[in-house]
Amino acid sequence: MYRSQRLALKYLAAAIGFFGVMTLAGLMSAYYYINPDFLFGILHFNIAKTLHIDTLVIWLLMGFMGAIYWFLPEELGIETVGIRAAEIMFYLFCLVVLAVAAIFVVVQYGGSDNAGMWLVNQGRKYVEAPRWAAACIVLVMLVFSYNLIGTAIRARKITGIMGVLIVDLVPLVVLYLDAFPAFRNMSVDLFWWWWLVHLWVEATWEVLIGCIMALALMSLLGTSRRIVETWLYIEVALVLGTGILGLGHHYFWIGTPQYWLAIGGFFSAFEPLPLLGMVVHAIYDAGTHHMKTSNRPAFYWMLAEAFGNFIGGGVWGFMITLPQVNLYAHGTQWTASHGHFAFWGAYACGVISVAYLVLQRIRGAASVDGTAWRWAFAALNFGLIGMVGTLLVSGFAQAFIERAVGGSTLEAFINAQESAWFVDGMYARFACGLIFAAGYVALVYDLLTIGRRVPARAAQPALP
Amino acid sequence: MTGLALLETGLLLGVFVLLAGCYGVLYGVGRLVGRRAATAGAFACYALQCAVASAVVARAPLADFWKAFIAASTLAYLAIPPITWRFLEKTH
Amino acid sequence: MQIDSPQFWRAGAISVIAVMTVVLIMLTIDSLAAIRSGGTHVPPYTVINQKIGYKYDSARAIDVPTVAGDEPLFGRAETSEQVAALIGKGKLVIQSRSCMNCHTFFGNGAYYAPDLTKSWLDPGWDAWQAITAAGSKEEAMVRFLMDPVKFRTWTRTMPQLNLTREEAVAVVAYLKWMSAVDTNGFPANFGLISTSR
Ligand code: HEC
Ligand code: HEM
Ligand code: HEM
Ligand SMILES: [Fe+2]
Repeated sequence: MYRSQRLALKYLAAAIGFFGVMTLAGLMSAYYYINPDFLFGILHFNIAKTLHIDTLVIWLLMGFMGAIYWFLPEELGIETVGIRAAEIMFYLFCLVVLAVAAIFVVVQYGGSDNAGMWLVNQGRKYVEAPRWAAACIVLVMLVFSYNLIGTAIRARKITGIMGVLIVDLVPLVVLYLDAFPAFRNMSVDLFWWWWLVHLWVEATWEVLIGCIMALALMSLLGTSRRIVETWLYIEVALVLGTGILGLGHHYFWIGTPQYWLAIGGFFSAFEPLPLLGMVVHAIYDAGTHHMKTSNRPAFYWMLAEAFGNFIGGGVWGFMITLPQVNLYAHGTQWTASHGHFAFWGAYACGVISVAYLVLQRIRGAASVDGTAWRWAFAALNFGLIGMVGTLLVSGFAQAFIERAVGGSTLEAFINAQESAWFVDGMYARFACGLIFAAGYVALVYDLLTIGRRVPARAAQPALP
Repeated sequence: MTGLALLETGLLLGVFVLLAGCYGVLYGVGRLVGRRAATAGAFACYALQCAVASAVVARAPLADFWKAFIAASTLAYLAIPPITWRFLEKTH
Repeated sequence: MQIDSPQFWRAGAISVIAVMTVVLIMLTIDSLAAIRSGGTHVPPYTVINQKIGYKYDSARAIDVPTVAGDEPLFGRAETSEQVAALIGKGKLVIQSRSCMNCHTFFGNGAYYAPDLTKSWLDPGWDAWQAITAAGSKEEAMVRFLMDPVKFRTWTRTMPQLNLTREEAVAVVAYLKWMSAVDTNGFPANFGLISTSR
């Protein structure tokens, strides 16, 4: 096994660990809606929620990096260049995340000055981490880029997938630089902020997960490189062709000119089309392989990724992407419903799939199957679909009562939050969150023991 | 837009894309196993999708631009599964 | 090049990305001019010296902010340098206390607490002015922000975030400026339909 692959395992383990922290923080955030006095005066909703969404971004990024460190040496046939630095960066990354989490929980707020921004909390959604931590994350990403580019140069070889991956690193890093400024003007602040958020999740990350799924497909089903690369290019063309200007669906109401209503609505309304193509593709792959694979969990999670991306991003996104609907749905639990479904479908399922793939290879198991992964798969997906369903009900109630009828004042907000539909939705969401959390526990149990419970093939791992 | 019209429109738009998904899945299954029933189901879903599109065009308080868009994209959705499938067979 | 060859699609992907990126950059340049303070959509910071409203514009068929006449914050007109510093401070207060992870601004943020886009114009401040025994709306806002627990109106309480008076004043200025940004009609029907709890 390459050293790079040992590092990959560490990254995936850390990813699953922070997935747990995220789930716990999510449950806490959800609980405030039911009991607003929870930890009052000690730790408030905004801190729990910050932990929830920041660890979300972190565990997915770590999952992607793990997947790439795993496939990189196999793809190029040599050990990853700069692996020592990469190993140090892994510990730095974990340390920084833990330190920031501790600062958020203990210190919580800094001063309303530059020092506060550098040391404690920047208070911008998803990129709350203080600047010193953001700088460390930039360093981690630069070393990661160096690993990829350096390995390609030393191997004197560049595959199509690697080429896409390397080009994608540029926007990945450059967009993250928006984690630093504190523009005085909220419109300007949000303008660039959406470059980071939208162009990450609906462009850069889609390409990243596309590359990872392409590598996983070749490894899992033995699909030929020519086919996989052709489809990767098609996917990149369509996703970016619709997603880049689809950015405009966040520029309806932040002070930007009115032409964004037409541009944003138009291009983002095309975004579901490539996602539908991917679903058809998944059906094809599943069918031509007669659902036969030695790694059922990885395969099922990969299917869940294709479907979840389409339904969470495409269907749930399309509901709210036309400006006339978005005017009322914007910034309500309806948005939260879409955000959960899309992130889960597009990214979380993919990372879990890779984790299974890697574990089978590492443990040299002829087959990884059993009942535990089915329980985990069922509880996680059932819990998540339950959460987005109940959030949708609450979101409908909120858009109706607060926005359409009440005109969005404080009083209208309170009326919506106290309506029976909304309140019941919040209770049901919490219950589904508990099911999700149970699924997480089953997932961890399964990942720890899979391939160990079933008799392992020989003693030696299957890798060089 | 009134509250009810809002929820109705949002739901119709969601169901519109969801039916496109059902059409795509059943179309693929139909081609894979060669069952008539699946393919028939696929086109039934598509027919429902057209019905939803007409409901949006007829009832939803959206601007004409978006109604034209929905009508046009209904045609695009018809084409995607067969084109994708043919291309998959060509490339594999 | 054949349609089923990777090279064909690679060329396609590169062209699509190039075209879309160029268009996005052009639109970005145009938008950044419109949203700078004093641009066509975003008022200069000195707007806090004036009276702000939010009215239906039948030509655009949406609600738009109105700016008419003098109404300086705390009755003291400020110079543009003073105002810019005040707004800058307000933004840093908002970031440092992570207001955005409970509230939304222009509808962006968290959904635990009300949207603050038009908070300056919220009819609820009349009641708060009475509760806080303040002589003006801005004074009521400052008193609320400095002690949201004492002046709460709801079971879901805004916590004490230890704002100094100076910080609270900066936030109020910020909210006043924000309410004058042209948001293409978001939120719709603000405050028009009065609901009773
Ligand atoms: C822990 C969540 C939380 C945080 C953090 C928070 N708020 Fe609030 N805020 C609330 C809640 C809940 C209410 C409703 C309180 C009530 O009605 O008593 C509220 C009400 C308000 C209102 C009145 C809204 C209106 O339009 O009438 C303003 C203004 C406000 N907050 C500003 C701020 C600012 C500025 C910050 C950051 C310095 C902030 N809030 C941080 C939860 C929060
Ligand atoms: C597939 C990947 C996608 C992911 C991970 C994703 C995720 C998210 C998240 C997290 C948000 C909330 C952002 C915030 O305010 O913090 C959001 C908002 C939004 N998404 Fe997506 N999304 C995806 C795809 C799509 C697609 C395909 C569409 C359109 C068809 C779409 C339409 C929207 C719209 C309109 C909003 C704004 C909601 C509002 O106004 O509050 N999304 N998305
Ligand atoms: C136990 C499970 C979970 C619970 C209880 C939970 C709960 C919550 C809560 C309460 C919020 C705050 C929403 C608000 O502002 O009101 C939130 C936000 C968010 N969560 Fe979760 N969550 C869970 C799991 C997940 C998972 C698995 C993902 C993604 C894979 C996720 C992604 C997000 C995102 C993207 C947001 C920001 C959405 C937005 O503001 O529009 N969560 N979650
Ligand atoms: Fe988006």
